[in-house]
Amino acid sequence: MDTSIQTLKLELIKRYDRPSFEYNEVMYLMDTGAHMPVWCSGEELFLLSFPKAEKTTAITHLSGFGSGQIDAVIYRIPEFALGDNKTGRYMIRNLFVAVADYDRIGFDFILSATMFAKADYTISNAEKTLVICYDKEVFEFTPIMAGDSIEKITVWAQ
Amino acid sequence: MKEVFNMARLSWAEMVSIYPDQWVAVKDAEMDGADILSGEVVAAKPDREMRVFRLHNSKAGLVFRRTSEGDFDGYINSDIKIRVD
Repeated sequence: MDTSIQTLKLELIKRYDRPSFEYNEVMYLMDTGAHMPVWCSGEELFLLSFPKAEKTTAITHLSGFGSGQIDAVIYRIPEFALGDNKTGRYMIRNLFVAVADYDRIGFDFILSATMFAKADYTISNAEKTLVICYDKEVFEFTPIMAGDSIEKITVWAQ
Repeated sequence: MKEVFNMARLSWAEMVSIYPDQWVAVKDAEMDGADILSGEVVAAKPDREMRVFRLHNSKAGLVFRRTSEGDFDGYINSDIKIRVD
């Protein structure tokens, strides 16, 4: 048995059709088609939720939110974590996030598939759970939209 | 807490009916996993106004939910516009 494999199980909101959950007063949506995480609820609430986040000089163009294309500023979260010592913790170092301000979205934070590129994740609509299985091995990725000027993102687990 | 809106205890279905397409802030929420079964609605507001409320009421033991998921289609374009059940 490989003991380095960790499992984090999150309860999805049953009444929503899409895979969403709450963690630390933040509403998350798992978007398996996305390649960059997007915060939708404005900069002030973002900084309240992630007070150590730093604004970068980069911006990105987001489209598909129903209001045309908009520019979104990119922030860096030094350490992003889902879960805790009790549940298991999935951590990402230097997570770059496009921070935007949208209306009519029931979620604050859209998580991208790239954040789980080296993990296995299962969305169970029957049990309404999101199960993430990950190795403790560190891995890095560069967000496609951020270009070469941004340092690599590191993902690890505890 | 800066605002007291309505302290009547409501079911989730009642919240959806009374405050459609808004965010609600719920005190003493009875939960079923991640879902609200019932609670006291202390604020109900559209998106941007609720963000301001959340800024001032973080870590106050409230549960925040939108009574509908909104009209976000996903920022990956999709040809599927009509859901077939």
